Amino acid sequence: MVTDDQELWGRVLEGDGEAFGELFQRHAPAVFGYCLRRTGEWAVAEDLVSVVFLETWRKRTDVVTQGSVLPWLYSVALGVTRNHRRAQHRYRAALTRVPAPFPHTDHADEVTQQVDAERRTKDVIRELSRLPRRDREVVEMCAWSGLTQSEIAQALGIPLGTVKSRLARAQRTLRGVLAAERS
Amino acid sequence: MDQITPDVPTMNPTRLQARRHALVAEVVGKTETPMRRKFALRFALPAVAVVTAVAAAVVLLIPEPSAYASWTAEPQSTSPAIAASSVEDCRARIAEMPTASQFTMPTDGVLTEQRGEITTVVLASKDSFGVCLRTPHQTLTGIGDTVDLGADSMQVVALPGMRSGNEPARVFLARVSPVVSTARIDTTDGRHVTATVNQGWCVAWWPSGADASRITLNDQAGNLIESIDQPTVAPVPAPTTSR
Repeated sequence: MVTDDQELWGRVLEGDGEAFGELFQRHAPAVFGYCLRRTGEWAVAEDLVSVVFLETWRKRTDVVTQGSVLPWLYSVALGVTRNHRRAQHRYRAALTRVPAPFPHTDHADEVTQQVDAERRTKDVIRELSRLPRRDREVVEMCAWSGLTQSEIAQALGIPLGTVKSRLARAQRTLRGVLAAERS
Repeated sequence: MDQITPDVPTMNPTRLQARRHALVAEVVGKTETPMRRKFALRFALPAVAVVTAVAAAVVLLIPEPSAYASWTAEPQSTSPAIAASSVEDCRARIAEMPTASQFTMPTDGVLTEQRGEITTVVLASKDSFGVCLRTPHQTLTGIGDTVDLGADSMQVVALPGMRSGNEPARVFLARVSPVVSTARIDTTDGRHVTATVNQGWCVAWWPSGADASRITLNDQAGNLIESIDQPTVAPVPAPTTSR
């Protein structure tokens, strides 16, 4: 039987670490993809996933969730990626307890994949850096999270209308940039 | 959107599992002594649900009921004399806090407000804030790290207080852009609280355990700047090595 986020979160609020581990298993890949696309660095993104969940645990009593916890996780991930160097400092002790990975049989392939992914994400980060920060964050959340616009509004703590207006403005800007580069 | 959504491989399953186990071990290890409880033990707070939303030693004792009864949703301005004495008193009380040495001392009095019998003072420095709620008989004090406002209209610095108990109360403290002139806080129990805004800081408190459900920011002309639902505390910078 699949337990929904709400039930798991209820157990998390009671201090159930295993339930939190289940939420990690369920949502870490999505949070990792978001962090990687935001930072362009594979190793950093892996660490930030742990930081996002540690921070979520720390603030668990301040969170009121309805349905999926993903909007809240993306909200935390946004804050963490904004401040990732400082956040890593805070959680350095915890991160050092993450065990080293087991040897991987296709190590060369994995490294190649990681390098390619970093190159692609850095290209995108460079393009998006032309946008004002607040517009950029809406575009990124929209493109990378799979959340609805209402959920994005919840994650970013802004009204739905602001999500729509920032998205429209950013799309106009990006179209202009891309058109200029093609010409 | 496709052009800005680069394909990325998924996390290595082995590393995912390793991180899951490390995470669970970490949080289970911390469950027995959560930060809230450390504060409660250290400062012998009343046995109520104390909300500490920042890595700060925000200490709030329960004001006497008579002081609560005088609360107003609209703040009153304080006389210069009361403001000056309140700031001095707050500086002294913050300095006496057991954890004050962990923070850069906030020295500048940036904001003073009055709601009934309770005077609120906010002190600030580049890296830290201090807050005092002064009743006729006692003073509630807090100190913590501030956050960068960046390009945002507002960043919530702290939402301390008591959600339950005989006399619950919540405090709202935020940094705001210089263009913000007024701020209104709607709470989940239906209050509409006018915050005090000055020198880029915004403060309010209300005598209930209700959360802030919406913050509405306006400029001097009354134009809406931003309306923020369910505000949460911004990430706090890690402590610097100079402390």
